[in-house]
Amino acid sequence: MKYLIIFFISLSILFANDNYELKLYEKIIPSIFKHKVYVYVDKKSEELLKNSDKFLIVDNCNNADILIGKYFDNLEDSCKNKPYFSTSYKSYKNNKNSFGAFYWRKGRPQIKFREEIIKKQNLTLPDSFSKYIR
Amino acid sequence: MFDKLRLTNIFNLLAIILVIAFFGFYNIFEETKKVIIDTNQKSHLDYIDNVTSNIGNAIKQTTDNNIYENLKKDKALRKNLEYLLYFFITDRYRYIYVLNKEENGSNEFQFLLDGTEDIDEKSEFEERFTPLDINKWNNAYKNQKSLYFKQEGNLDEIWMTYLKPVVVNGKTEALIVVDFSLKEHNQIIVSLQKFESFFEIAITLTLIILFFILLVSFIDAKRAKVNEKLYEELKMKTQEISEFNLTLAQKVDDEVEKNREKDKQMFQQNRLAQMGEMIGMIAHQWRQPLAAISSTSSAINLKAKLNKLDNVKVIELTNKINEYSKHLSETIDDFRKFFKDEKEQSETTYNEILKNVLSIIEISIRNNMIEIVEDYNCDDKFLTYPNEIMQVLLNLIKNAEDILIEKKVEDPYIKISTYVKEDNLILEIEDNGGGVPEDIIDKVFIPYFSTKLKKDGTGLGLYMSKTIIEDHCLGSLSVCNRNDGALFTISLPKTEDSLSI
Repeated sequence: MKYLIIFFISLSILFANDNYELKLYEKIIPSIFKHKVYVYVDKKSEELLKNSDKFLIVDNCNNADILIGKYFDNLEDSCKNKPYFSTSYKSYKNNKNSFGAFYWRKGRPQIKFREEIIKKQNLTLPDSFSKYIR
Repeated sequence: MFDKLRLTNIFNLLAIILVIAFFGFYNIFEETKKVIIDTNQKSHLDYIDNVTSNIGNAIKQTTDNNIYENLKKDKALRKNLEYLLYFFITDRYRYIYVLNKEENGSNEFQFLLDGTEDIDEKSEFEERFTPLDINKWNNAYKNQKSLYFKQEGNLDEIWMTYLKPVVVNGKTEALIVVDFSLKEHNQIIVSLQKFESFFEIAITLTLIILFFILLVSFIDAKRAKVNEKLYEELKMKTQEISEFNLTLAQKVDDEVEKNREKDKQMFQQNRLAQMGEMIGMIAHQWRQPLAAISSTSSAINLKAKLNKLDNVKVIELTNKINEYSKHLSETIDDFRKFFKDEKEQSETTYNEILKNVLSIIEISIRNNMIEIVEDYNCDDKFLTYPNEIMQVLLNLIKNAEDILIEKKVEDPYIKISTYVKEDNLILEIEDNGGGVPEDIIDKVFIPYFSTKLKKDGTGLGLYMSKTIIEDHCLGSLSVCNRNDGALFTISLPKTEDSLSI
């Protein structure tokens, strides 16, 4: 019984976090592109974004407006300059082309943006996110 | 005192005590709850404060008060200190890490040490970190005061954050952060809240019950008051009835006494009337012996004058006079006996009674040329008041004689019959005087009712006869018409019950 309760609590937290994340993505990404966003995503992000009507997941990164995910194996060269939004600290740190990131640290959401990449890729962030730009 | 204590009062008292007790318990519980929560939380925080103080001291000692620089330079030191942090991590203390702020005035913190073991969860040295409630963090850092608060954005709402600034020479060099769980503390609170809810429900229910008990008591008291009033009225009425009954009983006694007196007077009246009649009868009876005495004495006188009186003749004639005198004396005895008051019953037979009655009345009847028919078939003895029965029979026979004379009936007769029928001894007196008219036959036993002329009848004879037979002798007296005359029937019980009276 105790484990069952813990299981349901964990499940609800997981879904609640997902919801929080999705809302965050829906707030940031469409405000940058001003239209329905074609996204190329990794497995984990696909699970999250496929339920949103603001994103259209594409199979080919060339057709995508943005890449969202942790790691992309065998990414085509033509896609490497596409705007990339990281979903982990490490991928954000290691991929210097990533213009921003959203990840959880010590149970707290972390939002990061790189000013020079945003500028380089001519992206415009909503004012409410400017405090996260470094 | 105790007899005035009613059950409802006891219930009221118990209910009030119960409510007061519940309120008392509730207050004690509230105090206890506060103490438990505060103590639990304080001990928790005290423990965290001690742990973080020790960690802070360890960091300061091992880094020679130059925390950031030495940690940056010495990776092994970082590892050792992170192991120290890891040492305190449990389910209850999920994250323990150390941060600082860059001197460039950045709003972000950077990780110095992280006790987390999980590679994905572990933060790197100098990794930037922005907590949601950063103002609180800044306050703790700036004001150099320990702080704890519930984590913002944490969805399961059981995680608290404890911030402990590490101050070196009056300057905050680092911030030790402990994310700890309130789960157990919350469980205690939840349990206490359940208890509190129970108390609140119990108090509410008790108050409702008390309200109803008081309501019922109020209604009951009101009803009791009405009942008391009714009881008082009933008591008063009962007393009035009792008093009235006493008066009534007295009145009844008075009336009964009056009736008794009246009956006595009637008896006396009736006896006087009968006495008058008997004097007439005695006069009849005495006439013959007196004439015989007179003629005998005249014969003695004549023989003496003629000198023909010898001793033998004198003795013969005086004997005759003696016999006549004796007869007269017996007549007087009969008369006296007839009117003698009887207090006790005696054993007798109808034959005996009739013999005595006829000895008084027979001569008178026969002088009136009335035949007496005797048909006696009952020799049974029974206990009764013979003189009273004699009075009745004298009355009935005299009435028959009167009617026969009055109506000048041809071949008049009075038939006297006795016989036994079942358990009763029957005596019938029948005449051929035409009977009692049907319209008055039901009234003949009513006092002062008489068909005779006023000078001859008192109207009490039959009434007294019925009273004697039915009330004194416990028998019955009835009248009917048979053949061409009236038939009076006396029925007396022959059972032992009647004998024992």
